[in-house]
Amino acid sequence: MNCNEIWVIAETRKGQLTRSTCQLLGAARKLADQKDLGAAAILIGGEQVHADELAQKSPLVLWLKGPRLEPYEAMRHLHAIWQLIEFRGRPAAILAGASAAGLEFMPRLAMRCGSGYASSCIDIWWEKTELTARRPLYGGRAYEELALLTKPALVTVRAGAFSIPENLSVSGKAETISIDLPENVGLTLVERKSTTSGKKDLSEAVCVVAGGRGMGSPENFKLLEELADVLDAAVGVSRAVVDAGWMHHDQQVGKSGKTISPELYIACGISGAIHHVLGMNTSKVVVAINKDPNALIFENADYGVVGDILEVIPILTNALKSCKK
Amino acid sequence: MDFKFTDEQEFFRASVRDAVDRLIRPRDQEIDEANEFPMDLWKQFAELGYLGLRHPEKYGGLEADVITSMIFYEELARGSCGFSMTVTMQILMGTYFIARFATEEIKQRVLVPAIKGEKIGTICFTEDQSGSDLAGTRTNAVKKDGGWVINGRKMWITSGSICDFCTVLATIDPSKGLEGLSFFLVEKGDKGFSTGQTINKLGSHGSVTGELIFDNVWVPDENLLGEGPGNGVKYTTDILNEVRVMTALNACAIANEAMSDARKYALERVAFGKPISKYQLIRAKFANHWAWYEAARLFAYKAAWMIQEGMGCQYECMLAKMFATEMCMSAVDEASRIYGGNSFAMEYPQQRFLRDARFLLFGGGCHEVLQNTLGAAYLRKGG
Amino acid sequence: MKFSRIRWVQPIYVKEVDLKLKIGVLVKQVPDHEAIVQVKSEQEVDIEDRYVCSFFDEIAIEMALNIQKNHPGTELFALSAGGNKAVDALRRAIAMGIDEVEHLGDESLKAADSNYTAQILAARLKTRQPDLVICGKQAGDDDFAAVGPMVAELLGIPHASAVVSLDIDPDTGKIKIGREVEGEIWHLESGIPLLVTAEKGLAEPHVPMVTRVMKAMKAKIPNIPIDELDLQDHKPQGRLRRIRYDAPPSRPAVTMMQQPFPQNVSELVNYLQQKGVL
Repeated sequence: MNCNEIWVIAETRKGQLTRSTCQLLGAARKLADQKDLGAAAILIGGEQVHADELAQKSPLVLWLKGPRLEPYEAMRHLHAIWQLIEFRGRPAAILAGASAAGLEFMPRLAMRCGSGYASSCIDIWWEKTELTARRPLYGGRAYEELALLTKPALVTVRAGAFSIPENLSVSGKAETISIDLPENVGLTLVERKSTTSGKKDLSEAVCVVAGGRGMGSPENFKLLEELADVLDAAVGVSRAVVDAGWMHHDQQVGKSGKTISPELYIACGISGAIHHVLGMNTSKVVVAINKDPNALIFENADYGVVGDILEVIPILTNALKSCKK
Repeated sequence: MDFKFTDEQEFFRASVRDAVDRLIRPRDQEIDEANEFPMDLWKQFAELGYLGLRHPEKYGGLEADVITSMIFYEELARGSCGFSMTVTMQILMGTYFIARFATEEIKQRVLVPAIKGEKIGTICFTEDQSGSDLAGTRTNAVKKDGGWVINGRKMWITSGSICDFCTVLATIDPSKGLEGLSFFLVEKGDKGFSTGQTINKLGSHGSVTGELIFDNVWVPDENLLGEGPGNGVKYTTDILNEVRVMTALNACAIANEAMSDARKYALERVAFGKPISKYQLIRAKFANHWAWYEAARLFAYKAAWMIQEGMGCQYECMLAKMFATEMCMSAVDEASRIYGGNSFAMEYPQQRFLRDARFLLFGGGCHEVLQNTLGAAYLRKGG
Repeated sequence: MKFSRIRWVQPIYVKEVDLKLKIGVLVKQVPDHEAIVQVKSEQEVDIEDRYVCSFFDEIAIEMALNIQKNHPGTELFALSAGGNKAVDALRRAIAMGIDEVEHLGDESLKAADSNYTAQILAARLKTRQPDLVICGKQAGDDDFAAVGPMVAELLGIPHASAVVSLDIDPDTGKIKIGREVEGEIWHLESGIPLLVTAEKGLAEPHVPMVTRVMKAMKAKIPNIPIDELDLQDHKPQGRLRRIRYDAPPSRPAVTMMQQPFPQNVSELVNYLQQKGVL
């Protein structure tokens, strides 16, 4: 049985819908309209406030409720969605953000459905009747376009790939579906520990300020944090900084860290080695500040400043502060 | 004719490269600037087991063949020059004669810990007034009391001040010239054996090089390494072939590092509106280097193959060394020209390549001495 | 289309049944991250011949070895499904310390997608019945991060992706996992069987000793042809189709700020405002 819909698996973080979810809802609506399909947001567990917010962004919200659906766990999420598919039919496509959760359960769901799955994509569109996705290969040294040939087609999408459309608001309706989840499915969550002590999340941030070994010492990162504050940005670091033990791997941008696509990326004291660049070169605007005019980072930047970061950053911070006023 | 390395050899090469990239190369600049022997790195590297490369398994060695060892020396030389010199000395020259001639008791006392990296060894040829000219050796050994008394001073000894044992070339009869030369084992703690001044070198930092003093050092008969006295020169020739091919590959590795670095630089450095890699004169440098480097490397491996096949190849090894070191001199010079002014700054690696490469002209036989020998040989035997 | 059902089994704890764990490690040979990659046409990518065992897979190997060190008697084996180059990833596994390895498939697997690869690996794992499967979070070529979860689904076992810590609690026999989620580490508990994908920080791959390198050099790697595996009538193609390759978009040349700072800071601020990122 098929249902003519495109589903977005909603994700919440710190009690709010993720930026990625909002971006996907807009994208799903557009894709659905192009093929006369319905668009639905799937909420697994969660609160009324989430369902309400989703109903403002999606014409239909399918709210899956039942015991043990929270907190998130891969097998339980999969079971809930599978029950929905059995109940409602196979949608044309299921989209999710390429977050830790999305990357964990979506491939599993794809295998369960016998579906084609494209991971960490940066664009999706219709090529005739096939949903097609574009994604980086070899760490970004090449790109590929994949056509998904099954119903449903599953795609995880990188945060920042789509912009949130202006006319997202809609008066959607929510339907509740009871999910019957047996005990002993999947792993048991014992506790959650924050590593960034409340700092802004890198993958979600619109603006990122990143520091490398050129910052000189971990203490100097305070300057970056002040700049980040003014810009409402997240703070990222290069691998060298993590290897030196100054910062947690959680904040690492690069091939063995996080790959991000913010609107603005300011690289401070970062040499621009390829493994770092591969993690941020899809950012919309890149500004690089480095004392070495030959630094590789300038190859991958839109705007460059040659100077001592410890001087430049505070000046920039102040200029932006007065700009704000 | 098969010019390929086997899959096994390629795998070995990749593994050594990985070890050098992870353990040694991140510390290249630090070791160069500190100009001290990095004992902690030595211990880390020794744990990997490479120090027993050429030695019998019963002493903890690997019994690798000549070509495999050469692959090792080439990959090692991509990292800190000083460190690679110390390691090579340990594996090749420092322990060769002990492995070949010493009694079982000495092997257990000296060779086994050397393979583990617990004792550092070296070889002593050079003296103040004699380098390539072995007949000028003044260090002498006189028979006495069931052993030999050694007197003399050796200079330019790699790992001199940190060695736990050394193989000393001494003459038992100056009147016999080259036929009087023999090798003796002397150990730290032997009365009269001490270290003298350390040489402050232009390059190869990280390796300590200095003077060793033998003041009436008595060693028992069994410390004479070899089948009877007077065979020093014959044995030297045996080992020199490998030393020269190793030096040739050392030169290739340094040349390649210098030019690879210059290549990256040329692709990025912009002058008069375009990267300097677009200019013909710069391109010519890379073209020339490429040809000479490939030739030097091929020649070195051919010489290695000849050694492995047991063929007489004294001249081929000398030629390979002479050619590769000359190629390297040119490569580091050209690489630094590509770098331009930046090669003059200590923060970039080009200056280190220039300094490290210089010694290649002298180690394993002075360049001009080789030319003389080879020229004479050519005239004798034809092309 | 066959697929497995979720197994509602009570998880087994290592201590309860006094098991010696059997761990399977999945590895893949991929281009080095510094290898030059050039898109020659829409159908062809030229890759420099520099291949290594995938970064996260080496972490998986090291984790398995660490478990063996702490729990003597643990059995380890490594599998790689791929073309001829896959054998090198297995040699790396041997050099690092896993003696038992198998190469699944042949050169026809060179361009196999995650889906087919997972089918082949799962088929072999079903025969070997490991208690724990560890693989890298994602592979250095396609960065798909799918094989691990797909294999777990085919085996019907729970899994955790992007694991940064794994310990076996000696008192309860439970496997304790730390999983990296945005801004947090989630601490989970599991019994066996279990699959985890390795994230940076789970273990630090050591530099192999030369004796193991020599052993790996000389090893004969056993091969299991595809037709000896029970793939349950799966077809290699059918779910995805690559339409084309594309070169990465290049950024236009950088605009350098004219010296000196601080007078020109307003130039930068204006630039940012112009670009609409403030």
